[in-house]
Amino acid sequence: MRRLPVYLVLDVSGSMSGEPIEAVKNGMQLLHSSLRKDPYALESAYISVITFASEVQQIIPLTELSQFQPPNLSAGGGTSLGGALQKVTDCASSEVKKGTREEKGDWKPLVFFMTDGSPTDNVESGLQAFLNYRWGIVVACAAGSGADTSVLQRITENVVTLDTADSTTIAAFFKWVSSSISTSSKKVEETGSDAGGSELPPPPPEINLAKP
Amino acid sequence: MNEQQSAEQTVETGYSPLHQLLTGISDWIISHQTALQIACAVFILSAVFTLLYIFHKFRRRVNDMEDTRTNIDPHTGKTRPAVKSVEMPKVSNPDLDGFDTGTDTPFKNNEVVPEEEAAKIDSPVPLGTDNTAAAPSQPDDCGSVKESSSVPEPVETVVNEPPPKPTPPIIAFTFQTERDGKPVSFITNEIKKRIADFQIPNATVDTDYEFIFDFSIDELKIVSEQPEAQPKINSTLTDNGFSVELLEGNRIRFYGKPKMDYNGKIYFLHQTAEAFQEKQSKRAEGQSEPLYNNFQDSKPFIINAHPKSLWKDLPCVGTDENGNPYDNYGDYENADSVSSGEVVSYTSAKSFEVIAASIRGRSHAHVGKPRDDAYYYEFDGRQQTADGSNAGWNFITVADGAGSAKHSRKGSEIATRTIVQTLRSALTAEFTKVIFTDRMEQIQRWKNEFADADGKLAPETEKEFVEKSQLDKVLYIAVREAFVKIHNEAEEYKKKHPDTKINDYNTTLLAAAFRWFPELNDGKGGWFIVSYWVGDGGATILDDTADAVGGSRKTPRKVFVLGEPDGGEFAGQTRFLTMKEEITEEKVRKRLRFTFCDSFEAMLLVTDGITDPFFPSEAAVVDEPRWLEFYEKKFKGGCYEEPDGCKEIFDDTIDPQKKSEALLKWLKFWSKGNHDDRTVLIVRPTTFVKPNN
Repeated sequence: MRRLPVYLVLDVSGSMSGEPIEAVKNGMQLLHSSLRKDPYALESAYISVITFASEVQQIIPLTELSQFQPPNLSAGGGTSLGGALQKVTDCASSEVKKGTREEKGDWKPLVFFMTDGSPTDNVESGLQAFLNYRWGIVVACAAGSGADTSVLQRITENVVTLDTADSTTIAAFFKWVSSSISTSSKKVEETGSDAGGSELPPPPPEINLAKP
Repeated sequence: MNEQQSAEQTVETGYSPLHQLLTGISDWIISHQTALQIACAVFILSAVFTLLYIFHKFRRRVNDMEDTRTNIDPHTGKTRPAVKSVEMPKVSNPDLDGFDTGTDTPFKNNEVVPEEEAAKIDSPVPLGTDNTAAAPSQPDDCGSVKESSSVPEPVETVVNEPPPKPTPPIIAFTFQTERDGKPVSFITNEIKKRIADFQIPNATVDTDYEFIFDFSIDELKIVSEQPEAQPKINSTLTDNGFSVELLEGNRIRFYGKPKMDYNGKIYFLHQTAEAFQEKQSKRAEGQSEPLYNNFQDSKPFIINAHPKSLWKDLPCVGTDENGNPYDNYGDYENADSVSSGEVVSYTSAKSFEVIAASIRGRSHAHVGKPRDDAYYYEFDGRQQTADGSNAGWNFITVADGAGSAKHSRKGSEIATRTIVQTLRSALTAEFTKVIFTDRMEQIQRWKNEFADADGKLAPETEKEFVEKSQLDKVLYIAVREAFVKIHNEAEEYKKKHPDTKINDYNTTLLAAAFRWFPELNDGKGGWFIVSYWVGDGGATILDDTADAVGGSRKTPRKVFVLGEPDGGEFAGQTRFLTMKEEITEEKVRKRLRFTFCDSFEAMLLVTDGITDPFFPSEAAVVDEPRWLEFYEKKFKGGCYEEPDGCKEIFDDTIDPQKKSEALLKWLKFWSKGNHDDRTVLIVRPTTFVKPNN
C-alpha cells in the first residue's frame, strides 16, 4: 500500500510558551480528532511530528494515523529552523519509501511548517538539503507578527500568515492542515498521482496567503 | 524535557477539586439523612476546606512521587494521619468489586465526562513520558493542581465524537510485596514508573487487540488468590469487548475485539494487598472502608473506528445533506455493480464459461460517484463448426475509466464494445482460413517453438509470425477505431459543453481474442490467444497443459502474462487508450501478445482495483508465480478476509450467471487503502450444460 507521509514541523521556541504552545497542543488534538474520522486519511496518512527550538527533535516518527497519539509539547529555547529543515529532509529520506521494481513507493510527503519567529541558526545548508528533496505539498506558516516570512518564502511558495499566534487562529490553522491532509489523501487515491501545490483547500479567513 | 512537560501540564482543568468534593459530599449527605451523619459531613466539609486552604497556600509541585502520590510513608509503611482524617464518601462501583473508586476518580462521581472534554483536559503525552501529572488527583494531592488560566478554550468543535460513555476505561489490580517478611508499599513507585513507560498501542474497532502490561518487578506479586483482588476491568471495557487475564510473571494480558471507538484515557487503579485486606475486614465489620490506599494513573488510550464503518455508500443520484438534489451521472449512467455469466459449448470437450463482475469502489461510493470500470464479451465460438469453417473467435475485454476523468465511464464503455465489435468484423471466417487454417503446418511449427521456448519466441520468429498473421494490422485497426469512437463522442459532447476534452474519457483497455483450432497438434486441437493491453490492471492465462504436444515443459502449469502494465515507478500514473501517441502501428504492435495453449485452467482479465491489493508493483504484475499464488490462494482458495465468498465459481453444476453473483460478493473483499472500482472477467473450461441445451 502506498502511504501518504505527513510531516508537521513545529516551532517550540521560548516565544511559543504560554498560550501559543497550548494552542498548538490543542491544534494537534483537533487535527487528530478530525483525521481519525476520515476513512481516506485513516487508510493512507502517516504522520510525523518534528519540533524545533534550540534543539531539533523528531518526537513522533512517521506513524500510521490509526496508531498516532497527539504528543505533549513544551516551549523553550531558540529557533533552529535550519536544523529543522535538515531534520525533516533526513527523516523523509530514511522513512519515505521510494518506488522500486518490486514495490510501489510512498506518495510524496506533505510538510507543514509553523514558526512564530526568525531563525536563530544558519538556515543555508538545511534549506539546500530540503529543496533538493522531492516533496509533495509544502506549507509554511508564519504565526504572529514576529515571524520571518522572507525565509519561509525561500522554503515554499505556499506561505501563509496568521496575524496573531492566539488559540483561535492556531486552531484555524490546524483545522486547515487537517482538511489539506484529507484532500490530499483523497486526491492521490482518485488520480493515482502525487498531490501538487495547487491542491490545497481554500484557507479560512484567519489564514492569509502571503504574497512574495 | 518530557518530565518537565508533564509537570507543567495543567490537566485537571475543569475538575475543580473543590467542586468535585462538594458534589460528592452533598450527594452523600442526601443519601444519609441522619443528624449524626450531617454532623460528620459538616466536620468533613470543614476539614476539606482547611486542607484546601493549606494546599493552595503552599501550591508547589513536589516532584517526589512518593510524597505527592501515595499517602503511605515509604519508610515506615504507616499511613499518614492527616490523610486518614479525610475519609471520603464512597461511590460504589459494582464493576470493580474489591476496589474503591472513591470521589477522587476522574469521572466526577460517575458523572459523564464528555469524551472531547476528557481529551482536551487530559491531553495525552508522548509515549514513554512520565504521566503522573495527568493522573487524577488524590485527596492529598490538591497541592499539585494548577490553575487553568494558561489553557485556551477550544475555538470550535470540529469533532463529532460518539456519545460519551458512563465511565472511562479502568483496569484495576492488587499487588502484594514483602521485604524481610513485612509488607512494604514503596513498590508503588515502581508500578507508577512502569505504567508511565507503557506505550499502549491504539486499538481498532472490530479488530483483535492485545496488550500485555508487564509488571515483572522484583518483590512484587499481583494478587490473584481472592476473586475480589484479581486483576479486573470495568464494564466500560467488558461491554466494549475487552477481557483481562493474569499471566505468569506478573503480566496482565489485556485483549479483545472492541466494538466502539474511543479517544481518551485508560485509568489504572491499583492497591496494595495490605489495603485490600484492611478494606475487606472493615467491610466485614460493617464499617466504611478507607479510601486512602488507592492509586491511580492514566495513559492515553485510543480506539479508532474501523475504516470500513466510515465509508459511506451514497447513490449517484440523490439529495445531499443540505436537501439539495444532485446527479453525478450527468449524461452517462452506469450501474453501481453488474455481473453476468455465460457458457459457450461448441465442441463437447471444449466448453468454456465466462464469468464477469464489476463493482463500484468505496472511494466512489463515499462521494456518490459512478463506477468507471467496464467489461464486455462476445462469442462466435458456439457457432464454430468442427472443421473451423466459420470465424469461431471469442472476445473478452475489461477497461478502467480514470477516476480523475469526469466521463471515463463512457470512455471505458465505448472502448470495450468497440474493440470487440471491430475485431469481430475483421477476424472473418475468410481471414481466419487464409491466415491460419490454410497454413496450419507453419502455424504448428511456430506453436512448437513457442512451447519449447516457454512462450518466448526468438524476436525474429515473433516478428515473422506477427507480420504473416497480420494480427498487428487487425489489432491496430480495432484499437484506432476505439480511440476514434471515444474522440467522436467527446466532439459531440463538446457541442453542448465546450470545455470537453478527450482526456475526460480516459480509459485503460485489456482485450483478448481467442479461438480453438481443431487442426493443431495433429488434430487434437489447441487454443490460440491474441491480446492487447494498455494501462494498468492485469491479463493472464493459466495454462493447464499437462502433456504439452511437441514441448518439453518443466512445470505442468504455466502462467502467461499477456502484456505489461504501464505505470511510472514514482509518478504513479498510467497510460490510457485515449492518448493520441498510443494510436500508432508501432505502439500497438508492442502491446500485442499471442499465446498458444492446449488447455487452460483460467484466463483472467482484471482492472487495477484487483491488481493493486494483490500485486505490490508493476513488476509483480508480470511475475508469473505471483499470478499462480493470487489465483490459488486469494481467488480460488476462497477469499481475502471473506470466508466463503466464491467457492461456487469452481462448481460446474452451477449456472455461470449464479457464479457471477458469487464473484460480486468476492469483489467486496476488504483491503486497506485499496478502494478503487474492481472488475474481474474469468474464462474457464466447464462441463456445465444448460438444462435446455
